[in-house]
Amino acid sequence: MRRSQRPLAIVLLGVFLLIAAACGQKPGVALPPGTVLNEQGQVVDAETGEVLGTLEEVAGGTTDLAGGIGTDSSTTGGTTTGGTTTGGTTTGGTTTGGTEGGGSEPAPPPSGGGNSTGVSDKVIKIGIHAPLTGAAPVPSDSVQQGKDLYFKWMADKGQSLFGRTVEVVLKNDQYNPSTAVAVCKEMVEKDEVFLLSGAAGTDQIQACARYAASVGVPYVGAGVTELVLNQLQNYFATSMTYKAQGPLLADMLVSDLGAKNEKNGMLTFDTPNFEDARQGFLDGMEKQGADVVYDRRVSKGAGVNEARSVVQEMSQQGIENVYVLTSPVWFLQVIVAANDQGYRPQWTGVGISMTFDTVANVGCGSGASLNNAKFFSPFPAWFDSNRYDPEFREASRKFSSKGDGDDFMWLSWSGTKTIWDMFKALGPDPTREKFIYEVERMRNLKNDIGPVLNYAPGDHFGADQVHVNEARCSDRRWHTIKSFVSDF
Amino acid sequence: MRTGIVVGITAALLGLILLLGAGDDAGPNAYVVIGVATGALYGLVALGLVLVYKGSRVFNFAQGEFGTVAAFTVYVLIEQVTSIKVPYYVAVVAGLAVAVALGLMMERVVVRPLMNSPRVTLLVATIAFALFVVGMQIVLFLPEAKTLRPMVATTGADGNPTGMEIFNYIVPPQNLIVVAVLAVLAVVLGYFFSKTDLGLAILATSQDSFATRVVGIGVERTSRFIWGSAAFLGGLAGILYIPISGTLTPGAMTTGVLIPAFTAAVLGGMTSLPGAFLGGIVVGCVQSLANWAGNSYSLTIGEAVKPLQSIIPGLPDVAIILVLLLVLLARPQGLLGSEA
Repeated sequence: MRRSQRPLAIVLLGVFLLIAAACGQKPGVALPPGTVLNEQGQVVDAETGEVLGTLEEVAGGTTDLAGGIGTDSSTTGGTTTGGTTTGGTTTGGTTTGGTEGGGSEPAPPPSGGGNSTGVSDKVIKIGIHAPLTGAAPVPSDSVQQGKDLYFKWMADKGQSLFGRTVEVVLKNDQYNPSTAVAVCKEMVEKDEVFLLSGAAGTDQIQACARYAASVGVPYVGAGVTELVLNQLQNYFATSMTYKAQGPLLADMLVSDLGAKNEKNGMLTFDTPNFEDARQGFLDGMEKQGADVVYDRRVSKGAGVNEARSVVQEMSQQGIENVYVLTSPVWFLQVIVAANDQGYRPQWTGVGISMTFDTVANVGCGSGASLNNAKFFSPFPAWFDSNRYDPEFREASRKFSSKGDGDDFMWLSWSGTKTIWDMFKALGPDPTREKFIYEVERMRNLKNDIGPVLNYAPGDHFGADQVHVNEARCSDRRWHTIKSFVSDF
Repeated sequence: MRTGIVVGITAALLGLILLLGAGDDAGPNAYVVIGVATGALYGLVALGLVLVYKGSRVFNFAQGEFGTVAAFTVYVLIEQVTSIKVPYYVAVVAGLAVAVALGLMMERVVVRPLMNSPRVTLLVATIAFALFVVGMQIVLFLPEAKTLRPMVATTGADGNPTGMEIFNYIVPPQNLIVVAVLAVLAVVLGYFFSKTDLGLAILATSQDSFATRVVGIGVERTSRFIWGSAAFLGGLAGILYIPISGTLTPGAMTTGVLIPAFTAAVLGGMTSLPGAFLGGIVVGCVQSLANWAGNSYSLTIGEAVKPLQSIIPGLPDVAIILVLLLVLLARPQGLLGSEA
């Protein structure tokens, strides 16, 4: 009997150990827990500030942080595959990447030529990755219909980018960084897009932007972590990073919500990419003179049991304000657990997918704990979209099957509107080099939906404003209560 | 006899923890309750896994999806059908019926044609079937999160919780139902397999289908019964679990419960139905007590005082693997497992 069962036990143990080993490993995120990169690119302990060494020494991490423009002629450089507009030879060695990368070193102006992959006489092709499935899924139908709604609207109005329209390739990154890299690579190599973009999912945005940097492709995406992304010359954030939002959130908690005299807590996923966000919030609270008495990190694989446990902990400790930085799906499990216990703190946080109406709808479905939750968002609530850009609903009614649209389409509208404005400023002969050079010099770029963007050669995190969205269980939607805020 | 001893030791350990934590609001007692409540959910899914393994020696990776499909059926009937008001219990019956139909279809289309194949082939086939079902759910319902309300409301008209408070933790009514259902099922199924002719026939089929056929037992009939029953259990688990988890998404039961349920089944013994119950409770309690310990105990490293949970990321998972390792090293057949 024992002999017959032992192989089974060994096989099962192997399976579980493999699962355990796989948990927490995120391709492209090689930093050990509790560490961050400093401005010199060294790995330091997040709490003590002690320099632990280089990324390679400490984590055996990948080194393709910066990449360079036109550095990889084996993939996309070298020829113009999308059309014949600019001649299409790369500038070869006149790259601007190097090891520093990011916005930290100004690039020289492009000197003619350049890589215009994805640009033809009539079309500029761009690639977007989004989590159509996974832990923070967005409805594929909405994303499909929203991905080029703005471009269709502009074409309908007779406007173009110097005779061109924009074609969008959309791929599912499955809320998984390695999948994100795979689909981004596919869009660059097979679909031959000019630039890449991502709107949600910190690890995925970081992973895809890193890949894009390694092949010289511009990346325009939401502001998430600053880790690694602050070293990429090709990456442009269209909203405030989580780290930058931390002090602002602390400001709101103290100024508007009376957190100085209350018990404050923080609930975050234990991923290195949220470390700078955690630290930003802690620093902000300290500056505001408010204590964070509950600082809880949970695994990205957390489930119902963890949700119940943290609610019990917070409830027992009487935490009144909770900063949440997790996946929406797990946050909803926390909300259910809180409703079970009659626990109703002030939920706050930053991010993008938390303020989708799905979260309010599902969260309010299990009770009233989510009511009045206040989260920062790079875009106003869909409910209030007419206050910011009435053309969105007009366009949605005209070009989609979803009537007035929804928040996913609204987010896409905002993002693609920004990309349109970026292309507009490039002139008739866009190249990837020119895109990066021009965009990093753009000031006061505004689309009346997202934050005003001010980039500089040393700063690709161009936003310093957020919207404050509030969950209301009366209609199970988010509502925007403050806009374009940079101070409370 | 052994069942009584193992259950007794487990109960004594939990009792000791409760005794030591008595009177301490921040102590482990509430976490034992959380563990039992959540572990009961794992146990319910584990019960279906054990049933299939006991009857056909197959690890059924599609077990979770019987539950997700049943939950989607209930969701459609009570949340989306607006022309008539479908009572919850009718929706539950419909959900269970759909789950059983899915189980029977799987048995006919996937399991029976591969019945004489190596077990690993069948295992892979169950994974493929689960992926197919998840794919169908994505097509039909989109990957957007949905909410399924519980059978009994979590909060009353005054907004206060309606559950039962045990050691400072309010167990929601739906969870009390899960515990009761699980306890009844473990006893009934245990009796069925040890005392009834059909139960013994199923065990005989799993051990030697040729010999069973020779003595006149219909192998196909027992196979249908096993997979139909497993699907029924999976459906029940899904309908009870999804309202507790808060979100209904394609593949919700596979991603949310299947791994802890497998752990529970292996821990309890893949051939023991009471073992599935016990394994679920043990896994749930180890998880929640590790959560409690991770936040309650700290280590001083240099000048920094760090809670355990920040030193050992994923402490609950690590704790479960350690317990599993220890149990399997001592008893490879699991806590209550035995041959057939």
